[in-house]
Amino acid sequence: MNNKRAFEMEFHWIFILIAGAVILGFFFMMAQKQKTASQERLATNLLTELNSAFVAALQSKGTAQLLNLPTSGIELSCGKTDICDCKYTILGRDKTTGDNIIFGPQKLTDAKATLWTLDWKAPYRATNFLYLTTQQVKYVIVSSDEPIIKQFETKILRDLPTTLKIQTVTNIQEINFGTEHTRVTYLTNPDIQQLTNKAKGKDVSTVYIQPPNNVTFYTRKNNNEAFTPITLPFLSDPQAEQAINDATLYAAIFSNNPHLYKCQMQTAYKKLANVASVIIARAQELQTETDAQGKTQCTYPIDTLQKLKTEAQKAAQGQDTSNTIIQYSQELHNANKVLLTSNCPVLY
Amino acid sequence: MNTRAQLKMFETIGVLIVFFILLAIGMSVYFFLQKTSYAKDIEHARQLEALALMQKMLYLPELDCNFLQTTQDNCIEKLKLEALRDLLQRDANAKQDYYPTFGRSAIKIVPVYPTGNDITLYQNTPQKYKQMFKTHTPIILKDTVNNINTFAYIEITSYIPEEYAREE
Repeated sequence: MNNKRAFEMEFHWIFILIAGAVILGFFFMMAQKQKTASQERLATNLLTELNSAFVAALQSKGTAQLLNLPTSGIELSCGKTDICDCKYTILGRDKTTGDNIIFGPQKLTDAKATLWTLDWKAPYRATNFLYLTTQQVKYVIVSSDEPIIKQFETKILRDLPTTLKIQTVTNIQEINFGTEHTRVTYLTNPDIQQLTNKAKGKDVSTVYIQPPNNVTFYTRKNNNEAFTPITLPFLSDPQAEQAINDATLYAAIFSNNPHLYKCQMQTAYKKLANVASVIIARAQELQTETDAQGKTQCTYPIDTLQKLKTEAQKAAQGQDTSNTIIQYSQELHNANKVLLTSNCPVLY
Repeated sequence: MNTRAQLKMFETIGVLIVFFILLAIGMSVYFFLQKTSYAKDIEHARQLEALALMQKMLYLPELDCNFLQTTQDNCIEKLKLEALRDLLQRDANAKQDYYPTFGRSAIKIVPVYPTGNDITLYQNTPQKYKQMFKTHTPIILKDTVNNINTFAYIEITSYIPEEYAREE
């Protein structure tokens, strides 16, 4: 009788344990499902908000605005292969950058981000560039006392948004590396070995703005390794600064990933070529109309536009045509000035 | 004693089954409401995308009224509009390049005063779609050659194809 009672009691406890485990499991499963659903929802809302912010920023060129970021941060990438698959990721959910051309560090982790917009002119406005960064990135500009370099440094400091953390040095020993990512921009020939020694164990990436139109990215896989250089073109020429602005220069400063820079620039060149197609058709129409009106002084540089379009198409496929693009942009800029002074409808 | 214990156990199992049934019903109602609310969020996101497309349209360098690098607000240049329309009709690659910007939509510019023919800039209507949103915004259509400004509006119809709806 006693044995039977003990067995009943044991069975009673086993039953309670099983039932309890099932109830607990059920609620655990529900909580997991709810967590996934709410994360998905949050990611959708954040991606929508971010996209709206990007579109709004495109309308206010040259301005910087602050954006709220999710605690998990945002990742910017263009994939790991040669194929450009540019996207931004929030809470594990991707959204393609689409026609937005965004430059920034690979990972943005801070409560707020600075979103800066500049239009890219070469020589007409081809598109707008979006630059995304946070206070967790410190920008160090390494210059020299050489007047041209000093002038260049002053120009960069004047243009960059005031919300950024910036330090200017002439010697890298002056750099105070903190816990944040340090983006070192060399305006003079860099001593990479010295930087490697100084920045051992620190989160650092480097770029060398190499006049007239090359940019060398120095990256490393971990904070103790040596830097690997990758040289890519950018569009800038002090002689043609009215024809081409410095949007691509800032793109190189803001992107710590050369692949992202290369991919986004290819998209930008594609846009340059497409806008050229529209401007060519418009110029042909204007040429016909002004000829019909007897305005013989109005000559539209359709050939140069066509050449610029071809060069932009080549650049969109990864070729370095920056020198010829600068040359044709300068020619178009001059031609546009002549059209303006000749009382003709301008090219752009 | 044995029968009493068995009866008690069946009673407990019965209570548990009823408890789980009620819980399952409650949860399914909750998840259904959640799903509906999520679908509303998605719909809201799509509407925002349609509005974003309208905003982008007004500042596209391919269309804007530009004079000495100064962009005029809410203005589209007729010559550029016709050039872009021809480019999109003629060149399949160009249409593909503009897909990230225009997506699945139809974009039409309708002159109001002086009246004129509608200009369909872009047309990418899916064969089957779940929903569509129409947005309108007034603009000035500038004719640079004849120096005439026309009051017009842009009509953008954005589509959510059925396969998208199923994915969501």
